[in-house]
Amino acid sequence: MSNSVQLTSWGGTASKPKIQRSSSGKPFLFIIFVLIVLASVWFFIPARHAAEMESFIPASHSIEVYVYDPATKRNELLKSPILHTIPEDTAAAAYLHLLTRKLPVPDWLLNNVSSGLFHISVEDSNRPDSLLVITRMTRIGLLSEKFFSLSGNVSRERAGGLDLKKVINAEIFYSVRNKYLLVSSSRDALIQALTLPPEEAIEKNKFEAAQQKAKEADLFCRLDGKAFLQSPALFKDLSFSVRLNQSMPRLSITGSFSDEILARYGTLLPQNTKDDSLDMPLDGIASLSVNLGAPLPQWYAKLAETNEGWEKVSSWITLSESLPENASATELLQYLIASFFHSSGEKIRLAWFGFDPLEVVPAPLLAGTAQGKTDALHAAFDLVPPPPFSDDMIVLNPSVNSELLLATVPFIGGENLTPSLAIYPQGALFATSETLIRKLMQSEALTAQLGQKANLYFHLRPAQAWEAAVPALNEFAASGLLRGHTESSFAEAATKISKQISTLQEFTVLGIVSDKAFHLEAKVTIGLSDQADNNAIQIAQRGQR
Amino acid sequence: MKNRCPLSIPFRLFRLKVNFLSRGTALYFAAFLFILLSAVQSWALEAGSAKIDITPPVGTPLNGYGDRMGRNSTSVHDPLWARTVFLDDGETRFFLVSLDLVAVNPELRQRVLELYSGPVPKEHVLLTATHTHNGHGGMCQKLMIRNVSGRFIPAVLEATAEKIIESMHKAYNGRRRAALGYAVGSNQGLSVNRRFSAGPAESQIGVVKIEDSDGAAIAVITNFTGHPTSVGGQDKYSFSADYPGYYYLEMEALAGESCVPLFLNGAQGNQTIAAPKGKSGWDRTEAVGRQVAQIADALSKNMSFGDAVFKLSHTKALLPLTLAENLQPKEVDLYSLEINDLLISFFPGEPCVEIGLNLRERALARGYDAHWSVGLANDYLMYFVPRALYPFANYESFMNFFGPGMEDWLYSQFESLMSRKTLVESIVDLPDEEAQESQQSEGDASFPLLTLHGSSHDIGLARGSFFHNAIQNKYKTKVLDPVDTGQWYPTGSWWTAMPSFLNLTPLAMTALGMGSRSLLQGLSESYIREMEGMAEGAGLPFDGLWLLQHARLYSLAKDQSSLFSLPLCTMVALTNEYTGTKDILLGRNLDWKGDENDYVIRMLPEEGLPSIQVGFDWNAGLMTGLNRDRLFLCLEYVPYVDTVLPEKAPLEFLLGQLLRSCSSFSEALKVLSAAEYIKNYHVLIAGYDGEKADAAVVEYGQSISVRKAVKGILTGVNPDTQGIPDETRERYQALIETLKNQPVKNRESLGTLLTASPMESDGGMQHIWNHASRHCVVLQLSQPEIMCAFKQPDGKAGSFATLTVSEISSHE
Repeated sequence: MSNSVQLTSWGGTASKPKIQRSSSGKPFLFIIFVLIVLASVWFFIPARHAAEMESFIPASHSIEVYVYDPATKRNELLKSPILHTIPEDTAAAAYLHLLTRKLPVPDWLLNNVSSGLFHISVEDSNRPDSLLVITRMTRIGLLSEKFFSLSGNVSRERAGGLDLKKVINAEIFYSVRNKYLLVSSSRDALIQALTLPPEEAIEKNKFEAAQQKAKEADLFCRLDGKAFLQSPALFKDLSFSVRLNQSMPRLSITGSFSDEILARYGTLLPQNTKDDSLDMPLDGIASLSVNLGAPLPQWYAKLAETNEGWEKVSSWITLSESLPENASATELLQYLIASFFHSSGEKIRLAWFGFDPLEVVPAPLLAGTAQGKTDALHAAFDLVPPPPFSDDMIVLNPSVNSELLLATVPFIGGENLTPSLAIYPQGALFATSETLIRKLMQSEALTAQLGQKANLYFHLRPAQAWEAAVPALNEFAASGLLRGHTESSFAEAATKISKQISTLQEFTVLGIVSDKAFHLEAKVTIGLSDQADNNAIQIAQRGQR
Repeated sequence: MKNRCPLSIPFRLFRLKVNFLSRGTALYFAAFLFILLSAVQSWALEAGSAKIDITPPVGTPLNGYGDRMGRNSTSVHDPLWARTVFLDDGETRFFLVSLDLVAVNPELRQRVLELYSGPVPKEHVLLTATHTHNGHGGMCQKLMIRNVSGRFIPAVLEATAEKIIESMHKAYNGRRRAALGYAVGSNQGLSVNRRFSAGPAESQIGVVKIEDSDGAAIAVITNFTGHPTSVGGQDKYSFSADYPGYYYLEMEALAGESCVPLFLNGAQGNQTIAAPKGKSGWDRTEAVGRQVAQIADALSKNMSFGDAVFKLSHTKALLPLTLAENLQPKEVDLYSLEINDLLISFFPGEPCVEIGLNLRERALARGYDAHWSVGLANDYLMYFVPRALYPFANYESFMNFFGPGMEDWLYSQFESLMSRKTLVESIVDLPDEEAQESQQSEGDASFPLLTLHGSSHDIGLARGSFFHNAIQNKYKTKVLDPVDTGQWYPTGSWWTAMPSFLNLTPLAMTALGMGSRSLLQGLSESYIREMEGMAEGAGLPFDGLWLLQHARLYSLAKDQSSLFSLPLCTMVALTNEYTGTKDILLGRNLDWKGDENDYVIRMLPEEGLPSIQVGFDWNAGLMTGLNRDRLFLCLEYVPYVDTVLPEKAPLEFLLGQLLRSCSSFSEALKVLSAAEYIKNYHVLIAGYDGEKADAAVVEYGQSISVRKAVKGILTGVNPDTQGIPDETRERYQALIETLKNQPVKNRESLGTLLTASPMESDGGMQHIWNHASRHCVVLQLSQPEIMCAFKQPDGKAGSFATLTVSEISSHE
């Protein structure tokens, strides 16, 4: 389609007399006026065919990004302390560098080129050449483009009336259709967009829905199954929106699993999440609370069907009818574990509380709960006899405190390497540390509910996790057992990482997952400080060098 | 009156006074002098003592046994003490501290020295441990120690250090004039050898007693030898000082309340306590402790007390190399204390009694009246075993991390601290630079010859120095790299399950070093000394060099890597039935893939038989060799069964041992025939019994068999043997065929036969000279020459060169 202008002849016809020329110069002014009108028409009158943005977007593009007001969003990203937390030598840092680097156009131009939506799409992650960017331009943007196209940097190509332009130095193709700017690094992709039949374009309602989501967030992204090139594909579709709040960036994710994944693992996913609730997550450095949708033994049985490797675990969770007389330490331990397992209902919690670096070996402090009826576990506690004494063999028999409803297994070292099992009113609690389990037994969170409709909760506190890991790793370094590090080189490396990670306070995910769909809300809590701002400026300045 | 000098008047007055007081004055003056002299004499020695309870709270882990798994204590049977004596002879002042702990770990010593400030120099603080295995732990930070000492509790370390300091201050503050006496006597059989019932045991007990001017005991220091490991049973997790605790009680009762008894354990590495009258349990503990006190007290009754002159000597010595570099320091503080004619040597670990006894002998030879060894002093480097015990697969040997030469190192260090020299100080001659030059390779590139002479250690040192770089490279590729990449980890073990960011190599190397000790069994002391020297010259820990020698065995047990392939060879002996003479023609090709350098080594040791060996730079074992008495030995690998690690010295070291020590054919054959632990080898042996030459092949298959020549032809492998590789069968069939059809009459023609190169064909192992062939050795047993040809770059054998060995005389 080509730009065409209707011209109306101002010349007279045979039946109409010509307008008399004024001898005072009016004809000259008249010509100027005509020229101005013609120019205005050329600059401002839109095309005959008022196509909408979605008509240029191929439905075959499996990855789409919607952003309103990208210049402002870019500035917000520059200010975001999240930039400071990403290590320099990672792919994420490389991408961010691209976004934050000095652009080849002045900011004021960027701010004024695009009005409204900025749409980026690509066929799939393996076809970066299919990248297509479309935005609606402002009038100033249109005008600027006109002048830009007349500069020596742009070459033109009629391309069968498509009027393609190429920015010579940047090897970028673009075209302006009505008020839309279409840009691509591939000439073919651009032509495809410009000549797209309506039936091959993205559906209008789908586009509008995505637009709406993008308005509610800072960025909206949609991917369909084709975007995931691995086989089998994990998702059928996936979309997420991002809010770049300075201290708490958020991510909202919605999607559904692919048919292949459902066929294989679908039975593991909750079927009916209508009344889902969660136990209050334990206050660890990392914490998980899930509602499996089925009691743990049932869920495990389905898991075992999907994966052969779980056979070895099965022997430890098979509950025998009774304990043999003079049961060995291993038999007693297995009986307790199986009792715990078979007592477990749908709601499971796991948490990591750090390390005890000074134990015989640096010991992770882990705990978990399983809500459910504890009759089997009570019975097991009653059956376990007191451990024997032996002066020549190490005794590993569990020891049960009936009053506290606490069983401990003497292992190596002290209390933080003493696996323990306890019963509380709603279920059973286990921990790798006797000290930890006693503390948790007094905790109010043990019996509390989360109070939100969800079946999955996870949080991780990266800064705290690193601060907990450093002393443990240092013990290995001090003993010459940390590969590639002495104690002093590790201290140096650890300090560097600490500085980078210190602002990442917490990463949280809350959501509902079922075999039909999943919806997750994720947020990152960042510790704001002046330093964070300064860092952002430094990063921006680094990008502009 | 005459005018007098004003001065004369006072003088006259003085004279008057003197005259008046003359008799009394003299008395007073004499008394004054006596008192003054007495004071000067008794003020020369000052002493103080103190004891402080260092028992930590129940729940603190104990230290001493790995099978406690670092668990907490559950009770206190009897308290643990820090007992300190301060001594000052007017010139030298020091603290001697005895702690009811299993050892003085570096963290504790460091903290004590950091905390202490006072008039005694820090390097004069001697910390010793009684070695009770029921003392507290919680004070060791090194991860590898924590399974024995329990989790690291900085508060316990701090509290213990502070109490030690308190005892030192208290002893110093309580110092007073003192007199000292010492004695040694018999411990009446209370120390016994814990490893071998008939093994050596310490028979001495030593006592130092310090009294104040009133005759009250300030301290009694007793040196007795024996592991305090008598507490067990129900009290396994109880704090206790063990038998020293009963020694304290008894001695305090005997010597009075003012006395602080100290216990210094001796060279107790392989010593324990007897069971008096068959007693056991606490009865035994108490009986021994009280008896030690009673013996010591009895000895002290006959002492003469007087002044003391101290000499405290100290050196910070660089330790020998060790594989356990994560566990052990690079240097150590060694102390020696002389109290008049008594010498005390402080060992930073657990020396076996043999070392203590030998050092005592050396000390007495220098004129000391008595000598004590005190173990577990100022550091803890684990055990020190004498060289003779190093190859044994027992606990003390495993826990010795500095090689068999540690014994000599200790003697040398302690002797250097002795102030008394022998009449003639001999200086040990190591090969100097000039001598080293004479150890250089001789001959041209086709016949590399290295002559080594001197003591066993010197020979090894020269060899290790000469091949330093090659040995280091081989050590890295054959030992360190396989360990670092996990190739040597047992399949499915916890080693393989550890995360990759952990560096397990130091632990693995230490474990491998410990596990390889038993392979030294059967080797003579001189052979071991030779390898000590080689390790020293190559800059490797002894255990590291030893691992290199049998690295391929480790690898073959799991992996068929060609890097660790074994020598397939061709060996042949032609006896009188073939040659028509009394002589024997011998030849062998060594076929072994690798990039080692081949060497002919002429060994001229001061002890043992001179020999010629043809082998490689890094390998201290024997592949092919001939000794002065014409014993010839070579080996060939023949796989019959799966390769396993041998129980004792690998075959090439057994052959090396024989070459150094054995003269007769039958004697060597007897030894070889008895080596039932060897598998997968054939050994060709030839030699003389008197005038008669003989040859045989000893085959180590499922069982041992000895094969003799058939019609004068004796090949390394009988081609009709079941289960041998096809290539080996073909090779030997071809050899026998050729020998029958084209008889060889002399070594030259034998050499030609063995090196005929089939380079037109594939050069495979079915050929006598093949692509893996490295060198060929031929000789006539009666002649003092060997002929060698080495592989050339084009794969063919070079020309034969003849080496006349003057040390090996012609056999008439």
